[in-house]
Amino acid sequence: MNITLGQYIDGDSFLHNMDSRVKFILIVILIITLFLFNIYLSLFAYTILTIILIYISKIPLNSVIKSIKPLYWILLLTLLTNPFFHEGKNIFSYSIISVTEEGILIGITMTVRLLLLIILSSLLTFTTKTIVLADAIEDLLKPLKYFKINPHTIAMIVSLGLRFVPTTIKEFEQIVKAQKSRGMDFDDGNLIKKIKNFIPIIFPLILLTFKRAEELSLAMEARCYTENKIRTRRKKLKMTVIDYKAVLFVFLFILTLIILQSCI
Amino acid sequence: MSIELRNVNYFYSDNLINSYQALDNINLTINDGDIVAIAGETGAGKSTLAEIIAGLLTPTSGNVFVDGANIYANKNKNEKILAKKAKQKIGMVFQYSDRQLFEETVEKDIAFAPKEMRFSDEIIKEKVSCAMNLMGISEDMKEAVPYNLSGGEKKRVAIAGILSFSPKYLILDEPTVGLDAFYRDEILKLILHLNKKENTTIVLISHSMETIAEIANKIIVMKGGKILKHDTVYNIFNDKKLLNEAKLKQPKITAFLKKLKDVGLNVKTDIIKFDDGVKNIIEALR
Repeated sequence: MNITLGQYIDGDSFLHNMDSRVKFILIVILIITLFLFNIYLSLFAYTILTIILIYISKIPLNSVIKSIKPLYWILLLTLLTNPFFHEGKNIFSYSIISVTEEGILIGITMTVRLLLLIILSSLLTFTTKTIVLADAIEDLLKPLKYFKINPHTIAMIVSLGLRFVPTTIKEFEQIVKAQKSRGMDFDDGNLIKKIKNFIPIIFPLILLTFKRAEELSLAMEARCYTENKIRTRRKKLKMTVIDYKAVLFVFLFILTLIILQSCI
Repeated sequence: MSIELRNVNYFYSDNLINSYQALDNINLTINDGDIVAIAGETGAGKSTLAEIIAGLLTPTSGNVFVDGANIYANKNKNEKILAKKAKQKIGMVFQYSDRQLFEETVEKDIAFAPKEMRFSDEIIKEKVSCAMNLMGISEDMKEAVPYNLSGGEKKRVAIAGILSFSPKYLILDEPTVGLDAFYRDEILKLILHLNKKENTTIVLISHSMETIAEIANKIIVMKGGKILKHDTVYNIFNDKKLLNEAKLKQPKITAFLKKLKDVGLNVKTDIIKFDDGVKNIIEALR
C-alpha cells in the first residue's frame, strides 16, 4: 500500500524553513479562501500559486502525484456526478437525466479545488516534521486552556496518531501476508465472501493496536511522562523574516483577489 | 521437483524519493527434501527472499517456479489457476504469531487454512487433529481462546495452523524465537520429522548458528540483497572468510573444539553438530 499521508521529506527550502505555526495557519487560510472565491480567475491564481509552491519546496513531483492517488476516486466522482445535479442550460437530456453547462463547470471547479486542497495540505506535511507539526498544533491550541483542556494532551494524541500510521500500515500488510499464506484469496468469491475476508485481518490488527498502545503507555510512564507537567522544548518555534514575508505575501494575494472579485 | 528463482529483483519503495533494493538478481534452486537455512545479518534480505519464495510478495522482476509452475503468473486464467495451486503447496510461518491468530477457538483457527482451501469436512477434521498432535496441542486446549495463550503456545498453534494443510514446502521465519527451551527442541525435532517422514522441504530463517547446524543440510548466506554462497552446512561453517564477510559465526561447539585444540587436546575442529562434537571430545579424552 502506498499512503503518503503525514510523510516528511527532508529538504532545505523556503517552506521547510518556515515557522510551522505560520505555515499551518497560512495553508489553512489558503485552503479556506480557495473555496470562498467564485471567479475562475482566482482558481487560476491558486493553481499557479500551488505550482510555484511545489517548485520552491523542491518536493519531487512524483511524491505530489502519489499523495493524490488515494483520493483519485473521489476526484473522479466529483467530476462525473456534478454535471447531473445542477440546474441551468441543458446540453443533453434523456428522460429525467439532464446534463447542464453549469453542472459541468461546477464539476470542474470542485475537482480542481479538491485537487489543490490535497496538494496544499500534503505540502504542509511534506515540509514539516511530525514533531514540529505537533508543537505547532499545541501552540495554536493554547486558548483551550481556558476551557480546562490541556493542549499538550491533544498535541500528543495527534503526534502519536501520525507516528503510528506507517507502523499500522506495515502491520496490516504483514497480517495480510500471514493470512494469504494460509490460503486466503482476496480476489476470490462474491461480495459477502470479500467482506468476510476482512475479519481475519481486522481482528488481529485491532488487538495488536491495543496491545501496542498499552506497551507504549507503559514505556512513556517508565520515562516519567505525566500529562500535567509543563515541559520545555529542545527546539523553540520562532518566527523569522521569511515568515513575515510569507504572511505579507498571502495577505496581498488574497487582498488582490478580493479586489478583483468585487470589480468583476 | 523444486523451487527455482530466476533473476529475481525486489525493490522497496517505502520512502518516496529513494527506493531500496532488497534483492539483487537472485538465482536459486531449492531441491526437494532439503532443509535450507537462510542466514545473514539483519537487512540482508532474508525475510524478503522467504516471502517471495512463499508466493506472498511479487518480485519487481524475475520469476519463481514451484514444481515448474510460475507462481506469479497472471497473464491468463489458466496460468492463474496453476499459480494458485502451486502456491497452496507452500506454507509460511511468520515470526509473530499474533498476526495470524484470529478465530475464537484454537481448533477453529487451525482449521482456517484447510477450510479456505475447500477440503471436505472429514479431511479438515483429520488434518486438524493431525496438526494438533504434531504440535503437542492437547485436547483441552482445543476450545481455548488463542489470545489468552502464552507466547509459546500461540507459536505452536500458529505453526499447527500452517501444518493443517500439509504444505509440501514449509518456510519458517525464526520458528524458535520466544519459545521455551523444551518446545524449542520439540520444534526442531518436528522439523526433522516432517522432513524425513513426510518429505517436506524446509526453508528456515534463523539467527542461531546452533539451530542451523543442528537441523539444516544447506545454507544460503546473504548479504546486502545478494546470495554470497549456497552450499552445504559443512562447507559454509568451515569457510572463515565467508563467515566474517556475512557477519556470521561458527556454532559454539566448533569454536569450543578449536579452543580445546589450542590447549593441546587432539580433536577435530571441523565438527558443527553438538552431539558429534561431544563424542569427539570424549574420544579424544580416552
